[in-house]
Amino acid sequence: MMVNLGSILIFTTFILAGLLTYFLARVSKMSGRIGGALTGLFSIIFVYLFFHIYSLPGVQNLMFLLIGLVYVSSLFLLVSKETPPIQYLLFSGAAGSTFAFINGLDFITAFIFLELSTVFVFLSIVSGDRKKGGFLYLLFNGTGGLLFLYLLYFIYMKTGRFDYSAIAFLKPDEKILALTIGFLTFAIKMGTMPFHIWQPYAYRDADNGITVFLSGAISKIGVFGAFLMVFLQGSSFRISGNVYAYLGVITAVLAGLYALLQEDAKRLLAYSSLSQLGYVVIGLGLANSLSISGAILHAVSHGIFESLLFLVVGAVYIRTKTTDLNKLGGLITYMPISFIALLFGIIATSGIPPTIGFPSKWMLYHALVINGDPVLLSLTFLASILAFLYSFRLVYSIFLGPYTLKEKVGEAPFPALAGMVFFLLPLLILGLFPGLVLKFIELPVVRFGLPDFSFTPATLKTPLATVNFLTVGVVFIAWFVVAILVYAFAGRSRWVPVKNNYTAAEAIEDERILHYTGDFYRFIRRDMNFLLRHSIQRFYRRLFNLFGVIGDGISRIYTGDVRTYVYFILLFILIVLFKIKGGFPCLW
Amino acid sequence: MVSPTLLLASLLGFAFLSGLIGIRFKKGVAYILPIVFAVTLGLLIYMSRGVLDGGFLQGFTGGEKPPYSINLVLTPFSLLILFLVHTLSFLLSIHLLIRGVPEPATKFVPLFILNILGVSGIILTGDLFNLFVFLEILSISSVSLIGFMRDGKGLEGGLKYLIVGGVGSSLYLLAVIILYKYTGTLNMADVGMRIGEVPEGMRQFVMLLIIAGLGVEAEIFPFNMWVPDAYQGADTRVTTLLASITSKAGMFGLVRVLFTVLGAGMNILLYLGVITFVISELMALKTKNIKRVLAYSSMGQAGLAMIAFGINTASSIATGMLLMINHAVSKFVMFGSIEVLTDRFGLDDIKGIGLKIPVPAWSFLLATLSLLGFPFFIGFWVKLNLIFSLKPYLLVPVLLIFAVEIAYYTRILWTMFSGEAKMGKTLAGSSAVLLIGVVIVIALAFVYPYILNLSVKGTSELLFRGLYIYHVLGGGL
Amino acid sequence: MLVVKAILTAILVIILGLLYGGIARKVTARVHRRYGPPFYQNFIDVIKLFSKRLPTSHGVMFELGPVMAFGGMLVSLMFLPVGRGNPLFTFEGDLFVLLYLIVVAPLGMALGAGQASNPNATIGIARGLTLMIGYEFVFFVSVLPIIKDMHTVNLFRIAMAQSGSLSSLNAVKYPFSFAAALISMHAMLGEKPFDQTVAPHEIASGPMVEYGGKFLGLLQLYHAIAIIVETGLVVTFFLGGFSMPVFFLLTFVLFIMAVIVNTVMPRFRIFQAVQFFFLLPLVLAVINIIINAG
Repeated sequence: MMVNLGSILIFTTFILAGLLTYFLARVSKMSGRIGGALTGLFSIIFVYLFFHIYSLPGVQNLMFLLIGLVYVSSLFLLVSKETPPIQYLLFSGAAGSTFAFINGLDFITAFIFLELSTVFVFLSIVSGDRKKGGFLYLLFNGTGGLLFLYLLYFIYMKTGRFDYSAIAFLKPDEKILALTIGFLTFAIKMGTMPFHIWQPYAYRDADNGITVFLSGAISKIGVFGAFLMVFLQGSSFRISGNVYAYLGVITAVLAGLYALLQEDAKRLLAYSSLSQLGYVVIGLGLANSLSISGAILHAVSHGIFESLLFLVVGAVYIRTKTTDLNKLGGLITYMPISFIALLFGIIATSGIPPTIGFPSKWMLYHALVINGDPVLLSLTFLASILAFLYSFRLVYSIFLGPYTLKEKVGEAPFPALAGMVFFLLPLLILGLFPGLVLKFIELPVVRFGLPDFSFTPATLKTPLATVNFLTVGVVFIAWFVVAILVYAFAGRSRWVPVKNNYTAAEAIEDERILHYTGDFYRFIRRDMNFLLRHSIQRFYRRLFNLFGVIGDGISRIYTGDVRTYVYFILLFILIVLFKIKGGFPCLW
Repeated sequence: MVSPTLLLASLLGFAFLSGLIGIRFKKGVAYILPIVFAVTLGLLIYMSRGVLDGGFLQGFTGGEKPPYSINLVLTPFSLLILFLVHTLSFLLSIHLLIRGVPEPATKFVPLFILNILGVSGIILTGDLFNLFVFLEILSISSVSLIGFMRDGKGLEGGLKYLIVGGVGSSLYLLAVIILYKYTGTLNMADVGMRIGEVPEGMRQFVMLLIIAGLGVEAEIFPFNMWVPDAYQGADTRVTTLLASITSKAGMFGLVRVLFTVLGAGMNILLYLGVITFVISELMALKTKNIKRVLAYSSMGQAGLAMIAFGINTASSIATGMLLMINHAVSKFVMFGSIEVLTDRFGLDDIKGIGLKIPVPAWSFLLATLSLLGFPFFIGFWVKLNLIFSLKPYLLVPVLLIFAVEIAYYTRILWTMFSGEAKMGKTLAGSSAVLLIGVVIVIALAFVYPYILNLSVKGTSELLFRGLYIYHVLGGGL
Repeated sequence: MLVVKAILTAILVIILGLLYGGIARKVTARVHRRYGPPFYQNFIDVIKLFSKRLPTSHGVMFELGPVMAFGGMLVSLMFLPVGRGNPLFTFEGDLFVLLYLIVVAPLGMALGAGQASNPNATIGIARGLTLMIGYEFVFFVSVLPIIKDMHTVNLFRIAMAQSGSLSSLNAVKYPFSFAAALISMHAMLGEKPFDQTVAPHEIASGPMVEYGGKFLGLLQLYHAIAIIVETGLVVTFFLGGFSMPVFFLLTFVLFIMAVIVNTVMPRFRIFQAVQFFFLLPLVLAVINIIINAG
């Protein structure tokens, strides 16, 4: 059992950085903030330069870049608010284990850091105010770890090795088993549909800075692992691939539907994150070079826009102390930059060009059309309509509508704004040049048969069509300039308070809330009731109860009467003696 | 060279002394506890030097060599477990000093020391009958401790233990008598050498009797019925002692006799271990009283250790020892924390106490993580090792039950850390000792290779019974 | 050259769209047995709205909303092959590009109306977005067999493949899908029974309620383009391959059909509308998929 040395060193670096920050933060808040930012930045630069991460194979390198980006931004959110010192340490631990996981090249390393990330995230959530999510997180991810342990054992017993390439030595049917187990593990990590229960709670209950990292980076453990499983199996995957694609699409649709009905921004985003990761699962499940590229690209874009959204919501929380969509509203006046960031975030979430969300979805659609399953294709489209709906709900309830808070609030703190800019740049640039990301995964995806798919930095070409994303972007911007010109030449306007118009002359007291925000999509709740009624949570509760029933049966043995205890001892001896007399050689 | 006898003698002496001191200094008598275990720990460390080099350390009575005298043998395996037992006893005694010894202390302190004497004796002895004697010391002191508070539950638990333990001891005694009849000796090594002289059928019968007899102490199914009742009934301070320390003696004795003396029964041990593990963990899932849950979990862990021993390969036996260590330390912290946290143990009663009294609750949480086998704790390495020494057909049930374990511990933690705390016990004294326990669990993970090395040294004497026999009988020749 | 062509297309489509709107008002009036405004009334309205001074504003997003709607619709127009003429851009328009660009405009309007914080406006948006689940989904399902059979999502190629005989039209090949697409187009246009978003008698024209002056003018222009783009999408998919005048004629025919239905229909309640989409049109679309698969 040799653990990857590089991974250990990376992990140690981050833990040391975390410890340093922890002690600095104990000294004073300010030193903690500055120290946190500096040590975090230093450790990521150090890791990147010292360990030659850039020379890693493509997908690993890509994940490193992405997670590094998310790491820096969530660190910025952490330092721009009052973060309890221990969170710095746990955050560093989680980050270190994520990096170490990506860096590892064998199952033992992967398992150790998988479990470590679970522990750190669990402790981090549990040391916050709300804890429910932490325990659900532990329950699901701990079980996922057991599945991975099974995989570990299985591969070791069959091949005697631990490195990833050992899978190549398995027989086809063994490969399928190994793949299924591994994929399930990482599906739990991603929160794919039957295993998603933990995610909304965990995302809601975690510290805001940690949530950014959870959604943007920790979920990439799942993506990377699932990719690895698909990648290592190559051709034998297709047999069961469609099942995963269906899992993915069910996740995308149902999570989107649940997201519509949330009244808490972080829970809404959690479901949105689930739904977007559903696309990734679809792409991985189809397992051809186009879909895999699309899935990885979408994972990257998910990492960028979902983290951006969580970052903005975290910044809003810093100022308003709430993430309840019914209590927020009208913040655009006071937090315009955050508004713009959130706007671009939701545009990317809905997959509208010219943001990064578009090319990835475009590729997935093309892969789906080539695959030719109408159910998959149409449900995927449904999911993206839902994405549009819940995104609008988010931006509307937080930033638009009447201002509902008592006192005025300021713009988000500077580090948080810097974090937003960090995300906005790749969000737009990669939207115009998606090929830049695809270049990283050009080599690995060759493995999965090629449907005539090629790309340059700005264009993607599939058998179905060719799209130049730069042109789309330029046309987009050009006509927007035209529209703005029309608007600008049509004269000036005059600002009027909101209520002057629609309440006419009637004097109404300010306390009465006249705008429409709570239970925004009540029509859908009414319509989709038949779907929403059957929750998977009930299934898990039943499963739990089932084990309880078995326990009940067994508990008959534990009568509490000491006579039966003695009978049992004697009975045991008699039975085994009888067995021996009857010949039961293996007992000897 | 110090003879292992000194260890037992000092324990016995201190037990006697504490009784005497108790006559004059009713309050001060508790302070003798840490001193006792500091002394015994010092002795152990002193004695360990020879053992770590691979030799066995023996002590005889009457100046005769083993077959003709009662002997005490300190082997690597017993050193490991003894060290564990005495470290935890030391920690527990400090914990008791801080938290308050159950009153009357003049009776509690000698019983505590006697209990450890029984444990140490079982671990050290090289004589079958002597083991019976120590078993009796152990069970009588345990019974007294369980019923120490003289409340209904405690007395009930104590009585049940007394009866079941009595049956177990007599079965064991019967086995010893049979062995003596055929071999004419009581020395373990000697009996081990002459085991061929016992007829086949009788040997199996003896094996059964020994499993049943020592199984009572080792908490394996179906001899462990008394455990939940006793653990629940006893004062929590006592339960800490029983679960983390005393239970290790039974396991050790069972393994020692089966492996060294009979050289048989590993398969039965394996099956019983699996049954114990599955049944106990499922019971724990269903149980609502937290002390009972922990008791079932203890039984489950004992079952797991028995699985590891029963597989009977070098790595699995080492894992079995590691499991005993992990379980002892984590359960010490867990029961200790429960003791600090509350005096009512329903699932409703512990609601929200974690928010109110954070330090012990967090200790509980971290110890649970170790017991569940998460990294940064010794439990992780143990679990990893265990999985790789399992037989393929055992893998799925064991992993499934692991999941069950995670489920019910999550529920307990969740209950502890959510909701409004009922006003229960509010005395939140210092619980620094628990944190030390947590630190040990974490620190062990970092010196894991060393621990593994130690336990691997201990495996050879179990795997190759000739080694033990040679060392005890022929080593001095 | 490309730029000039793009601008000319935009101007042509705006003019035609306003004209269609004016004719629609006339048709509606005649069905109601009124005389109705002149067919150029919409041009007058737009000029009037743009020449109004100091229109009411409620904030930055309120002002930028109509701009976004107008700009977004113009962008979508660029990726729709108008008739048989040379495609405007090298890649000739991709279904998914267009589908995603089309939602920019509603998003802009919704954002603008959102800042107006008039409950009527917000209710209108919520309804509009809810309805979107119905019609967008159904439209997508209805074109599925086409893109699957033709194995392309290139709109120009889809349109051109239908030229030639009448029987090569997709409307003939996929009649059920065509019906479903027409129904969803009807909802896209926001005509009764799917005008819950605007619902003038109920929520005072919904998202537009606070708008006036140049903002309303921009929204009128947006609506004019939207008429052509939305009907044009259906034409491209089901009646494609004709020259540009025929293309516009077909869009006009489809639009006037929708308007006539509009004049005689009551309004669905919003959840009835969504339920309706998941019953009849979806079933129609699915029938055609099944027929094609078999």
